[in-house]
Amino acid sequence: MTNRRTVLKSIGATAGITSLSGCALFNNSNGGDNGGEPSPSENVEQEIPDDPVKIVFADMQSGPGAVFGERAINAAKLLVQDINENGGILGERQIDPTYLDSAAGSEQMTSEVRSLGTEQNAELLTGFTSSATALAVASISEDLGLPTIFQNTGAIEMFNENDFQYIFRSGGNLAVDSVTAARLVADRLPETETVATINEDYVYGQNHAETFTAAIQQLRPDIEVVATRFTEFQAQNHTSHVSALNEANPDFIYSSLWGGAGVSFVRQASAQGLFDDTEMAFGAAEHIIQTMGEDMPDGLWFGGRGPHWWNFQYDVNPLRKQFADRYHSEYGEWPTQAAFHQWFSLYWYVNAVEEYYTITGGYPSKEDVTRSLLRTSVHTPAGFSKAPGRQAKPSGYFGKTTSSDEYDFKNLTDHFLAAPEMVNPPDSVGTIDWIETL
Amino acid sequence: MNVFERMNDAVAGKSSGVGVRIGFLLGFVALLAVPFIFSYSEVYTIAWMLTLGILVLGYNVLLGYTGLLSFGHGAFYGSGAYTVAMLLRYTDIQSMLVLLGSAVLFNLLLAAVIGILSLRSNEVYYALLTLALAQIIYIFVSQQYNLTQGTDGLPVESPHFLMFTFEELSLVTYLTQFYYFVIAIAFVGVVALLWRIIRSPFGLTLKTLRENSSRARSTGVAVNRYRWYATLVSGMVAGLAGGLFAILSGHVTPDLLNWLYSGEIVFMAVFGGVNTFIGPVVGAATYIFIRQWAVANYPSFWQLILGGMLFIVVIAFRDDGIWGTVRKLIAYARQWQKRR
Amino acid sequence: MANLTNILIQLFNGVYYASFVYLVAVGFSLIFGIRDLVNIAHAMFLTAGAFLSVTAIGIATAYTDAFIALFLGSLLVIPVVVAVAGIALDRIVFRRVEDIEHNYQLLATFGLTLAFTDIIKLIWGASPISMSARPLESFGSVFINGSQYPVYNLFVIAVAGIAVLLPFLIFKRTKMGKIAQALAEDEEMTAVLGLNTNLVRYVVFGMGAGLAAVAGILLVPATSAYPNMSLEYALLGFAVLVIGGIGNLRGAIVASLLIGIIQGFGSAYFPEYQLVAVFLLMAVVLMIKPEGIYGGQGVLQ
Repeated sequence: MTNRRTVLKSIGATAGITSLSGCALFNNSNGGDNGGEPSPSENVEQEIPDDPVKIVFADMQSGPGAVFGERAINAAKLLVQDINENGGILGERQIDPTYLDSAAGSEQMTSEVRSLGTEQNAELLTGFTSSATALAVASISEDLGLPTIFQNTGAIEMFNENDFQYIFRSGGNLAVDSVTAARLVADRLPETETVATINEDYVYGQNHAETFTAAIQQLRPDIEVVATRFTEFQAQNHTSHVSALNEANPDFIYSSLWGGAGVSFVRQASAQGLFDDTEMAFGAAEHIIQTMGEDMPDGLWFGGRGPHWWNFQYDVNPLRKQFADRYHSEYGEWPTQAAFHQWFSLYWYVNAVEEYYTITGGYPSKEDVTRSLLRTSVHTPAGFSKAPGRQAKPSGYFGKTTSSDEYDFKNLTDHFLAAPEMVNPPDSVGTIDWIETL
Repeated sequence: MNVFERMNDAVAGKSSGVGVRIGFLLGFVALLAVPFIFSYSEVYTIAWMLTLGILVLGYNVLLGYTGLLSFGHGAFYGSGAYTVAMLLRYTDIQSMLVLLGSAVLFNLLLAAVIGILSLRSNEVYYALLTLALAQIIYIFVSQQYNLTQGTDGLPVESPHFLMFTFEELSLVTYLTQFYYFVIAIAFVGVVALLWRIIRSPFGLTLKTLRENSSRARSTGVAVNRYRWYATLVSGMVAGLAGGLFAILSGHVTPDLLNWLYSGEIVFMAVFGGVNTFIGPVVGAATYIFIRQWAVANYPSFWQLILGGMLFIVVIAFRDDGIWGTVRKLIAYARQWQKRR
Repeated sequence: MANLTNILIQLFNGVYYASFVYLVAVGFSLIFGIRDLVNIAHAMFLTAGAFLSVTAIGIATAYTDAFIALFLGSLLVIPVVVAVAGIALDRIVFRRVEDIEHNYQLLATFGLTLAFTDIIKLIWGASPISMSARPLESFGSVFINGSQYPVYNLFVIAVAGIAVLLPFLIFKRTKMGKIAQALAEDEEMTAVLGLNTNLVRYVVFGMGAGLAAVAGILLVPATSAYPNMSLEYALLGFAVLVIGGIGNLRGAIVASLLIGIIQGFGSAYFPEYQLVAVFLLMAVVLMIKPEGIYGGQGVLQ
């Protein structure tokens, strides 16, 4: 019980800090980036509604994407329970959660969102993982005025190509992983002369290959890219690709393989000796470390869309310790990036509502919330996120797998950290365009 | 015969002209009334059911009437949707009618090719061949990142209709005051057209193909040619359905072309009943309804519910599906009534 | 000679992959040929084998560290368990499907596949799980002209080789072969002759399920177990069926090898066409020789 209270206290503290910077902005009748929307200060002060707030957690609970979605939903159930046991948002308004399996496909999700955004009167939608579903849902949420926070979706041109008001993202652009990997090569592995990439043959994998290659060419133009390989989506058999990589013999390999495909690749590559003379970094796949246990080789680099390895800064950031311990005691495993993203989404929203209320004295409408979200800074278990704007801009992170006496799986050490502005493009700039300015 | 008996006949698919017409008219009026009765998202769901209804009506020309189980019909649905999405993205064509017409025409070409390639195979071989061909198209579309944005899919903006443009309209107004009616009219049009085709000599020939293709051959029917025609009709209808759906949903993804989606199309048709005319539409609507209900209420085992349902319906009803079974029950009830 | 070595290694990779394809598809094809049953859900026995082995080995490692012994033990015991469970399921579920049209068999078993996937998920969760030991490493590796190659892959090929012999032994050495052949050719005639066909029906189903389970167990050390892990093999099962011919043993072997080698060399040297290649081959065979390369010749010819 004390755990929860401490969590809530720190959140209160967050609201306190950010309210100072947010105050002036809320009275600006031009409404910041969003053009001349009516200012909330003109509205009559809204009471905190008596009915619970309907929040929808739609993430992949079946299919391969469940390695993200299942953990996000796990986290959501925990956090909702905590918030409700403490009275709810602002200590008064209970959360009425709805859980959906977004693996049912974008066809069904777009249909679902139409109902959520109108009759069902949901006030927040989070989740999705799949960028196809997220992109399909985005335009509908936008049109119906339903605040929506995407999580694990990494699509690189999401905010510069669209003029969204209601759409946000708590997991960064996927370039956080690929650009950090390129910086890792440039800063930590100066001997590297040749690199290769291996990614899955769909947009996400293509974008990883593209952004990593562009960043490497920018940061270390002397390095040669000796292989750019693409595997079938969620393939199990990678032996041929591994043999071909052995043949190309690069010094460093970057990959965005995840879930079951990531596990398969690591096993098969390790058995064919790929890692003996090659450094390899997996962006976004820190969740397979716990899955593989002792079977994970030492000396591989893992990212996770930011510093989401569960025990990184565990002793420094009390929120991380709280969240990780709570999650572990409930589910028997430590939280992964998807769980951290879910935490961010939910508390980003809660903070935005509470901060708005603290400053204006009224409860925000859905539209007010979007303005508040733009300016709300969040202390998260993965670190402080200062006024994220439309999307979180996490620090870049990679750590190296090392045997550990404490756990029955490998730990990440030799942390490599890059400041948010070094690995995230601004919201309004295309990712590739931005990489070319590095 | 009183009106109710006639309606009963219409439901039972007996072609007593007046009964059918009355049923048809009542159905049309009911469809037009939908936006005035239901909420926005319900109207959307019904519109979605109607596009799928168009799709499975066309599909049943192959499965129910010609006896060909295609396991790759998603390719036709998807190609209709992609024709609209790609034309909107890469050309200046903005007219809805031209876009939908192009989807139908493109599918005519595609169906002509697939029809020729699959003419010679039968039964389960036909199912597997259509599966393989559709899968090739699926892989092609999802790999052309620069053209199709691959697995992310393409957005579809609302096109113009005659002299009207809709940029300023909200989604809700656009659907409930305009686009729903486009779909409803298209649906009714397809129902009327296919009803005619099925009752024509052409349709009756198809039925003999289903019952016994070797006997049809021996009586001098050009079996292959008729099968090809059936493929063309079915492909074009799927193109229209795909185009309508693309505009309705606002986003298309290659999932529509995948073999698993083709499996869902078969599911809908069989679920409703392939030996009835309107059964597949009932199947599509019920399927969507149950799927939405299951995903919303049982997110962790909705596939168990759907899979179990498919198994039971196939084992218990086969060709009749739920609609055919309802019809049989009505018939029994009437007989029973008469005997009293 | 580095190139030759690489080609040799890719050949091994191809045969390695073919081993899994064969182990799943041979049962699929034989059951179709002999029992006249198209069972898409057949690949689910692979999933069952995989999950059971993870659980069994997980429990057993608490008592002993002899991983290889445990693994070999599970390779012997679990397929038998799955085969028996398969026969039981056959009596309860699949028999009901046997007498309906192929099209409907396809649909009904498609439904069963969906349902079974969710049942696995409800028991073991949706995320991949795997054995905690290091199975691949335990087997060690050999060097082929200086390139490291895992012994485990060769072991998989060897197991598949033995599995290739099994149906031949059963059908050539026992009377069951003749009955199976008769069933495949003319079911009614078999009944008229008063042959006891039930035993053959069960043996074929059980053997198919058991071999698919072997594939599942062999797959786990190199990958992991997750609910829809067999989808890939269900689809390839069709390809084997089409290319090799329904219910033909030699066809199943040749088709699996062909698919494995296309996948092996394809993903190494022309990855963007590799995926299309299998379906293209399938389509071409269906158009030119719909009954498959060895089609229409019964089980053993």
